[in-house]
Formats: sequence, structure tokens, C-alpha cells
Amino acid sequence: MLDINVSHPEPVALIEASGRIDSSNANQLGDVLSSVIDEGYTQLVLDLSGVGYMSSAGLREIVSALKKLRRAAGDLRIAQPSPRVVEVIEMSGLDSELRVYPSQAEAIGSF
Amino acid sequence: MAVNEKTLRISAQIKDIATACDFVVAAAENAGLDERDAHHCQLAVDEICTNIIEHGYGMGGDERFIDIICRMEDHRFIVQILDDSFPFDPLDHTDPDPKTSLEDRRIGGWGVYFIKKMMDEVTYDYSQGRNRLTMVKRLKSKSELAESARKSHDPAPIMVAAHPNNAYSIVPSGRLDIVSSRRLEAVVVKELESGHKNLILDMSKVDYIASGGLKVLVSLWKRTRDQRGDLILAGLTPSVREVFMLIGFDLVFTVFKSLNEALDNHKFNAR
Repeated sequence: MLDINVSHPEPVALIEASGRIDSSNANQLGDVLSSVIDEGYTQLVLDLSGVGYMSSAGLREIVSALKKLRRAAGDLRIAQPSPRVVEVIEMSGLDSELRVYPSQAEAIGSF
Repeated sequence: MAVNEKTLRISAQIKDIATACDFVVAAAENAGLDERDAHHCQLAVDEICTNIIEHGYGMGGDERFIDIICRMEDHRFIVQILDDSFPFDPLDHTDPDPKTSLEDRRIGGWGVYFIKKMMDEVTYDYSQGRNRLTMVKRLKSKSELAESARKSHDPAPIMVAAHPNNAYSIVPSGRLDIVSSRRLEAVVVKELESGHKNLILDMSKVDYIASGGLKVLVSLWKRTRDQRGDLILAGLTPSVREVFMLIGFDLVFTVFKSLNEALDNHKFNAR
């Protein structure tokens, strides 16, 4: 099960995901990220504190959103990922591209 | 057949992969793997089953099956995945490169790469009309288990201490990854805001540095320099020193063997 909640604390769009992100539901995350970007938001914070498990399917959605946003001079930043998710991000080498913050407030404040 | 062998058959549908994940986690934990290794096995099974269903069965595998077999053999936890789609060796592919820039980065193809990175051995064969992927996770010894439990503990607080000549030492510990390096960044920024500009990062308790951590170090070094301060490093552990030499960081940063050596010998910019 994957729950995704979107809110708009200035100056970002905040996407809070909780549950498991895998090939059965990663497209939900992708759809939400795309619609937020289509609405014109370029500063996104993805809070992964409630996600205990993410496979490469989740990473794929994050990378495509990040590519779109960087082309629009925007960014997607991650807040409080669990150690398991950090491991997956590091394994893919994305840790040199993605900005990750230990708290939601710091991620929002970084914009 | 080993006595402790367990088998699960799932229908070849994406929604059934979670069942396979639960099955392999239970078997892995039962075999004595720690949580991190059990997670590796889960991710490996998830990734290969996804590949088989998406590519092998073209998503439409309603009446097709995937078998997952788990067993222990000589301190090795063995997971085998069998399917009867067309013969396909998932290992016979060029790995994506984690060092590629975002723009050039492959969107897909990471699943099998993860499997190769996480499992100790991975082999493929085709026999009796079925693809068979065999993945092995070596059981950790007691001392290795203790070591990995130590590393997975909550991060220790980052200590700051004042020294003569307005020097301040900052002591991170454990892994300097994307998350913990942001914590370190916040501490350094706070020191700079308090007017403490002679900073020594005592790295003697850092046993691993990820590329995200290296990036943060460079940005802190620049930030300190921009504020007419001085940020130097001391006490690199062998594994961190090796990374530093490899990417030429030893030429950028001033590095001392130990905190005491830095305090005794370094002439800070600002007094």
C-alpha cells in the first residue's frame, strides 16, 4: 500500500509518501509528481519518512521527475529517507545528484 | 533436496510480487540473516520477478508461474527464481553506470545491477525449459553481525569543542552519507553564524564517506573560505583517506594526521 499526500507550504510543493514503493505502485508516485510539475511547480520536496521500502521502480520515477525539473531550472529534494531507501539511492549513484535533508523543514527551507 | 528448503509459487503478476517478498524475508530471517541482508534478498527477488513479468511474460502472465526456492547451505542463504518464459539471461547485459550525470542517466536497467551489487553470488542457467537465477547471500559471522549492528545504530550527535586560538573542532562519526552529511552541514553553518571561522573537521570517527558526503564537504570548504574562515581536516581513517587520494581531495583540503597535530601546527587565517 502506498499513500501519497500533496500540500503546498510556501515556496514548494510537498509530496509525502508512506508505505512501500515497488513496481506495483511506483506509477502512482510518477503520476503525482507529473501532475504537480504540470501545475507549474518547479520546487518539489518529496518526504519519504513513511517509506520503509523502495525498489528501482520508485527510483525510476524520481529520476524522471528530477530530469524534467532540472530542465526547468527547478529541483526535487528528498526529506528524511529511511536507511533502506538511502542505501538504494547510494547504490544507484544518485546521491551525488539528489539533495537529501534529515528533516522536512530543512528540505523546504533549502529553497 | 535440502531439508530446510522452502518453495513458493506465485502467478506471474506484478501484484503477487509482494507475496514473494514476504516469503523471502521470512526465510532469510529464519536462516539468521540480519535485517539489512534480508532487505537485500527482498529487493533482489522483487527486481528479478518484476523483470520476468514485465519482459519475459509481457505483463500478461495470468496462467504462468514463478517459483521461488529458498534454502540454507554451508552458511549460505540461497534463493532461486525459476520461470518458463523464453530463455533470457538477465546477467548478460551492460550494467548502467552510477557515475553518469543525471541528463545521460539510464532511466531503467537498475534492477539487475542492484541484484549484482547486493548479493554475494549470482548465476544464471537454463535447464528443463526454465530460466533459473541463483542468488547467494553469505551468512555473516557473529563479529560481522555485531559490526553491522553497531553501524546501523542511530547516528551519534556531532560534537563541537573549543580550542585555543579560536579554533573549533567538529567531530562527525559513523557513515557520512547523503543524510548525515546534511546534519554535519547544519552544524558547520551554525558555527560560522556564531562567528567561529577556524574549523577543524575531526574525521577520525568517520568510517565511510559516500559521494553525497564528499559534495557536502566541498561546499562547506567553499562556504567557510567565502566567509574568510578556514576549514581543515584531521584524522582521516584509512578507507576515507583512500577515497580522498583517489579523487584528489588531498590536494584541495589541508589534512593533518590527527586533531592534536592540526591544533599544534596549523596557522589559521583568522585569529
